Amino acid sequence: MSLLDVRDLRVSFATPTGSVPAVDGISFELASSEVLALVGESGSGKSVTAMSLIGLTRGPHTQIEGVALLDTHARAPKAQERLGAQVSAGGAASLDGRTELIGASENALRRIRGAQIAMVFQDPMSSLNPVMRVGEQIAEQILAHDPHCGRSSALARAADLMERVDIPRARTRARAYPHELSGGMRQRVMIAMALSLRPKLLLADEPTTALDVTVQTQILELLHEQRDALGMGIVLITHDFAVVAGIADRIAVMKAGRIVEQGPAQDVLGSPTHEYTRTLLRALQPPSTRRSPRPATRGPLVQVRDLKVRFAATHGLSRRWGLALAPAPEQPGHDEARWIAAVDGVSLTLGAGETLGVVGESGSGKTTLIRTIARLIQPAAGTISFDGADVTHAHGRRLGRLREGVGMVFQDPHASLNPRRRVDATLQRSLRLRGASRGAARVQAGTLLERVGLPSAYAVRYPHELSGGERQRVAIARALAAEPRLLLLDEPVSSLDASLRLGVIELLAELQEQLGCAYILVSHDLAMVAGVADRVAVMYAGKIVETADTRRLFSSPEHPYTRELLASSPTLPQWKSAV
Amino acid sequence: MMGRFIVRRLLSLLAVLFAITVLTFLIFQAIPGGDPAVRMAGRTATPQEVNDVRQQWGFDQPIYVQYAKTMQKIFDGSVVSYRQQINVEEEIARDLPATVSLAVGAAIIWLLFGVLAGIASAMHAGRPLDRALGLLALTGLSTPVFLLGAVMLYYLGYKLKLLPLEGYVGLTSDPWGWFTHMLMPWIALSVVSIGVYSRVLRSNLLDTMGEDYVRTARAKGLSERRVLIRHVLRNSLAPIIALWGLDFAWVIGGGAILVESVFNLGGVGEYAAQSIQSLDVPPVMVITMLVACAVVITSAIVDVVNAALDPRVRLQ
Repeated sequence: MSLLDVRDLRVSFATPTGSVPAVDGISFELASSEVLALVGESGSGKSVTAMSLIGLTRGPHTQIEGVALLDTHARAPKAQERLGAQVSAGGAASLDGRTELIGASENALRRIRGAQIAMVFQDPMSSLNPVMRVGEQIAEQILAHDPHCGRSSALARAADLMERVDIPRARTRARAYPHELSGGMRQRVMIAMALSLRPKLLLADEPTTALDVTVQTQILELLHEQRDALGMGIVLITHDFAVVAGIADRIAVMKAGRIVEQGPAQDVLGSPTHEYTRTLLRALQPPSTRRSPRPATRGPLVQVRDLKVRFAATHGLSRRWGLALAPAPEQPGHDEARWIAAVDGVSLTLGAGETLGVVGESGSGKTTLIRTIARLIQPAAGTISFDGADVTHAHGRRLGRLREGVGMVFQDPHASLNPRRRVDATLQRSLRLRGASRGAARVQAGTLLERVGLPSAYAVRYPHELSGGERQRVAIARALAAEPRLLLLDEPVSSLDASLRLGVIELLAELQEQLGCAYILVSHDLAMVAGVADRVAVMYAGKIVETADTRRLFSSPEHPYTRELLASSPTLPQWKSAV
Repeated sequence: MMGRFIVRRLLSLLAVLFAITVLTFLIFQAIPGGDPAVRMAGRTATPQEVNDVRQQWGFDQPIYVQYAKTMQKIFDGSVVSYRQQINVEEEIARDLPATVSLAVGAAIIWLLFGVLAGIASAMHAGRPLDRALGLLALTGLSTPVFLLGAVMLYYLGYKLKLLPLEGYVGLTSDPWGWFTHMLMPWIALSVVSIGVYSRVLRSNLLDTMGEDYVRTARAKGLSERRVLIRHVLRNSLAPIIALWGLDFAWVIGGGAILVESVFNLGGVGEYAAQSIQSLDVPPVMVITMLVACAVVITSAIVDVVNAALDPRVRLQ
């Protein structure tokens, strides 16, 4: 008998314009100790599926139908030990010892949540209550299901659990608040919390998406380990086939609320039968728009010497810019480091028309580096020269000229386009700023849209009427308005779905071919950088540890950190050799 | 962490209090044109009296001596209203108990009922109870205090004779009398604030309910009540507490003058209004400083309470 049996699940949300189906009749089964990966792009209904199983989508505007049976007595033989808490699911309809989840009363479901079915969410930054100590947040769950357990023993168990998920000095850390822990640590806390009552089923919703690659690997290993130790079934929700490859036993591919293909992992990955699965897998293939490196014809366009940028550790810029610069402190409370060197002595040279990739984990200073080159941040030391002129301290008209020569594209096109301004107004404003007449700006805005591959009818749309990929195209068009000689690209595709990424990357390559402008491309996605950049610089803790020609860097990395980064980058096995 | 935050907050409190004394001095003595001694002495003063005032306050000496003398007079309680020949600070000390009683009682009532109504509205958002409470809040907001006060006085005091009509009775001399005399003023003053607080809290609660960590709390299998109190409410209280501190200080400084005069409480607000009408400068100056200090001190307390609720505040 399977642990979880979902049959014809349908979830729809009522909106003013009618009912919108999010999940449209899906069925799947899961055995104990099995990992099922639900893979799909954003909006395919995978998260809604998981949340509906434990009633988190219930509400006056939601309609949920179907059957989901959970075998509440299932337990893998390996894990047949005394349970931390015995929880019965009274009040829910039982069929041959199984509990039906969709129709269960709120009260019955509440006793199943956290005890029999636990959930780990995507963003560990926002999924923990910021004003409660993490140990208390774990203990709270234990107490909710096991009222006989005292507060102090629940807290002790919380610390034990944190130790079990490999949090160093768990006893001290249990007294920390979430903001005092790094993202990886917080996700470990979430997992410790989820495991606290030895659930039979773990729903993991994009558990590694918000984390750095080296941390991603650790978290996936941890889930794998705990699956074996507790014999629980896992539903792993992700958009990333590479994450799935190492851990999933079976894969179900979702599109528009339906499962289009499901089967054993190696079958789905090796010989996908559905066209959509093939499209998704193809989209993941490292793009290759790279040309052979061209010899620099003219002098260097950008020269950065010994650049240093410092931020106050707890307030000021680092807070205002929302940069995750503060390293996880050793002890709760980080007053030790008043200043953090975000960029710590970086030198680089960029030729005209060249593409330099900058890779590194979050907090390594990549974004600060390019923002400083655009002079959005004032460096503490070092020099920046653009086109032969020292612009380190340029201000007024000279700074204006620099900014005209430099375009910027940000990570999240949703946040970087003014939501109240139409596409044409956004573009015309940039054009007018550099002196185009009203009429000329209108014409040129049309040309720009055409250049980034958008129909001219899009000129009258607002950002919310565009898809993520289209928005990023508008952001690129805006950056190109000033005909820059240098384009700074800050994670330009990482907020986009895989199938859209390739299009944007190809567009960038094409534009470079036409306009001959140089790119500095910041990304944590090594495969993408490998396909696009002429040279790659690897950043770690504010320093560039290695710069090399792309091919050489990926085939024979010299610095140990580069090697670690390459090794932990999740890729599908068959592509490991291709990169 | 918390201790260090409190010390830092106290130090900045002292700095701001000092700045207030300087600003008050400048506003009343140094910035206006003309002879400060003439202003202080009042319109009916004789040249001899004006001369005495100039001597006592040091208006014939350098400005820092003037500042020092002014502060000395304010802090040792020897400011006199020359118009009426009354010691200003004794007068304020006599009026303050009524005002403080009004502020404390009303602030407790409006916080309690504002929070309860806010929670009830948020839990039933969009449903009939929420609409009814919203309408009630709007009604409370738009009812003038003097109208509400007059209606209550007429029905509860005059017709039904349930509560005494007016005046203030000391808490120590007659606790029950104090309570019955204060009840109507408290209600009259609270109604507006209950409306404001319940609406502000409702929207904060609804915002917080959409947070990821509230979803986590539900996924943990916590009861809806515990989710609401431990996870939603605690993260929604900060703006309410900040608002509460300002409103409380406003009443202490005589802001509730309408309520004070409708119920004839003889509070600080009434004294301030009388003094302004008769252009009696010394009491106006002292009351101004009192208001400023009340605002600064309560906002320091509010900051400490918010830091206790949210550890991230302690880092700032």
